[in-house]
Amino acid sequence: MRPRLVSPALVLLLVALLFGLGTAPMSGSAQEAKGQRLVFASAGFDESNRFWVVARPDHLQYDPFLETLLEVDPKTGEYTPRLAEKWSASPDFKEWTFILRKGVQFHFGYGPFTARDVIHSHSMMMRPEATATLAGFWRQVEEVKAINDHEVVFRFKRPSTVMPYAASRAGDLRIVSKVQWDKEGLEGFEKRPAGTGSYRYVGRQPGLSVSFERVDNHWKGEKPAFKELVFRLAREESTRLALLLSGEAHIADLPRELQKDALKRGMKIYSSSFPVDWMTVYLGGQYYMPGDPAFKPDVAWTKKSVRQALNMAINRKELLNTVFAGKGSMTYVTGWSEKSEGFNPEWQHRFDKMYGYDPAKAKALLKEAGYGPGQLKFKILAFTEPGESEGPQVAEALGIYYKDIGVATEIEVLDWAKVREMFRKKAIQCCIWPNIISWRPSEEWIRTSYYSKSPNHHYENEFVDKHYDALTKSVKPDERQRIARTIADHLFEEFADIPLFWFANEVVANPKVVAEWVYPGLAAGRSTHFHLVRPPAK
Amino acid sequence: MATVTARTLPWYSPPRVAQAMRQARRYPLVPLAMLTFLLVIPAVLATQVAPHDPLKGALAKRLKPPAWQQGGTIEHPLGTDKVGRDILSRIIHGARVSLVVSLVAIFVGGALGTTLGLMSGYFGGWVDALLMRLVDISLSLPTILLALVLVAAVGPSFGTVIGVLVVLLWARYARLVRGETLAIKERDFIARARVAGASHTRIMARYIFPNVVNSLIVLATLQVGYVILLESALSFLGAGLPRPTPAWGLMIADGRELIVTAWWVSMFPGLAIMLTVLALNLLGDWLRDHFDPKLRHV
Repeated sequence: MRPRLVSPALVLLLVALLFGLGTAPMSGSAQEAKGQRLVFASAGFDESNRFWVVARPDHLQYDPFLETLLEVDPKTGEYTPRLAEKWSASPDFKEWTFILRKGVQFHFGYGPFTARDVIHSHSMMMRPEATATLAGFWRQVEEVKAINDHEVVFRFKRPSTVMPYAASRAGDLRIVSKVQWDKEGLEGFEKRPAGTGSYRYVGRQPGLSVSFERVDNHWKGEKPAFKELVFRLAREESTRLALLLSGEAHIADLPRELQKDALKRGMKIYSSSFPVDWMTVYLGGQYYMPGDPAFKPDVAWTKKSVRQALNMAINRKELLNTVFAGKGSMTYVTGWSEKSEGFNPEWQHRFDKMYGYDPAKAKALLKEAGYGPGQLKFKILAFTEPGESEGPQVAEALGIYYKDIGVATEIEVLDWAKVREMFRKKAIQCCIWPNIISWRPSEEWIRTSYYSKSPNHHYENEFVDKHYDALTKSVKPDERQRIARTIADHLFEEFADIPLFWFANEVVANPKVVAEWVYPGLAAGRSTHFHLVRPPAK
Repeated sequence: MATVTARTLPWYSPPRVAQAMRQARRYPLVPLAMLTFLLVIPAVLATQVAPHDPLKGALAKRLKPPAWQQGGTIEHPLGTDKVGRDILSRIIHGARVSLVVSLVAIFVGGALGTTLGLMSGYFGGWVDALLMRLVDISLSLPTILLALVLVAAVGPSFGTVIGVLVVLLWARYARLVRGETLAIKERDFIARARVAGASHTRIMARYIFPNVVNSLIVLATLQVGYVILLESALSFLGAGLPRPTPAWGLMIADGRELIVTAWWVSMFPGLAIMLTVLALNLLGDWLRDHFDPKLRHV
């Protein structure tokens, strides 16, 4: 073959290989998996054993082996005892006392779990490099005091009503061994972190996988059905599908688009017990605190009418039915579900008029703001994270809707870490970006997303800050309800961002390997509680 | 004793495909026609020829199959992609993108490489040594990796892609031109020009350059296909032109997750790349045969 004909031949070969994927037979490793090895193909996460530097979705990698003080019940979503048997708050909610469980042993012989381990784990969140989602919350703790080996008190600078959430499996305070740290330091912890879970850490191959093995004498008697658990990392969606169909993986995190292919091949969808994630589109550069040098008045969406136009350009029903296969419900204010403090049922009735699909009105609003057809151009950033596969597709769909109202867009696919760095450094005035975020209590949600002193900067102004401060000082339920609603109403009226949908977390599994799996979806990492994965009866 | 080979046997006939390829290389009509239909006409008349706006989609019409498949319509002969954009229109506009990118990159890279190659061959000495080491370095760089690093550093855009391609292309031109210049500068007419008082620049521009043009045309023609493939590869890897530009590589990337259920999303742009590159390679072969005196006499 002549050398120059090699290139077209390679293209042909590539096309043939791609088609080959569609006809790849399922291997027989499903049988091998029974009781032995469970492989979960994940889109990947920020790989690190340092739980204090990664975001909540990345806690998937800790869920099997690093436990928390409280559990999230997989069926009810309630906070229940875990490493702490009991907990209580002082009347002013400034002190939280946890009675710790006795007789819990750390993996690899690092001794029993005590109050010292809780203090040590919290100290990790206070390290200067701590960038975990709730690091800001944990920094509000003035003191963590051990009353004795099995009682610990967290004293906050101000009332904290969201402590049960933060200390639970939904939060990010993972309990690690003080003895190991004193003996081996960060190096030893990075190499083989000791936890107390029903799986213990085996090792990780960066960019490829993280492995765990079953602990046979878990303190609570949790007995995972599978001896080994592997998180196999595969950034490409089609690779995860191929891994699942070929039997190389038994569970896969797939976008809804590909779920259909998997279902046709006999796979089964497992949904979280609760709708736990919402998708919203953030508009970068909304830094309205007086004197903020990052505020650029020429950013189009600093005008309210532009924000409303960008909302009204989107046909939410169509987007939900196509990209998300109709699986979801409307979000009226980003982060507020019916169970959130401050939820206002009136939003639902006013939503259509204010946010509903109306391209003509959207065009008129843009014109009113001084943007005729073709005069507004911006970037839509897209990224994927575990359980967040639809981001790029939503970005493309937004581009289509915005083109219809005369707005030109460019889509840039980046790593989540890059996008996060951009909005944390307030260097994202150029762009909007769809994001999927997990439910959290209103106060915590306002702190992480809208409070100007939080590391994330999405939409911040004096109004939100003032009311957030009031909310943090309030412990009366009625008052808190009123304040939280005031903030949420403000965000609704101001079109702070582009709220889209709520949905459950979904993964696809091979039913020959996974017959049952109940997980709440509320826990950090979304697809959690792997000890509850049950194989079919023999 | 006479040697008997397959070619001397009376019943031997070369495979049809090989025959066809030989014919195609011998006569430029086939590649030229392919190029005209696949690249030139769509590129020049994209707006007139394309049935739809390549950027306009409709989610309600997403993933419609080609017209001849069940569920397909003549409105979208090659189907639609995952946001309901017409595949045919995007391929047509993609031809313009591919052509513009490759021509601009080859022109800029060729101009730079030719200039440096002329200087290197003509002046020799340390200029030659320095430039040729630069060429060696450039040619030894892993192409795709270098492109990914450059694009990651400055962000994807039309300018970035052109820049990356120029960095990857100039060295081949420099080496070719330098080799030819080394031979040409020893010839009598160059010596005469020097005696007549022509400046170095004039000698290079008026006497040497016209003698290397034929080789440059052949190389440039062959490189159009290479550049289209490279640009497509970069776009496929997300380091090329930004979305939603209708670039062929991006279109293939868009469809790779849907290959089982919506094969048309990546298949047709893949075919467009393959046929275009094949046509350009055949044309390049013919040009080389035509311009190379040794091959022409054979």
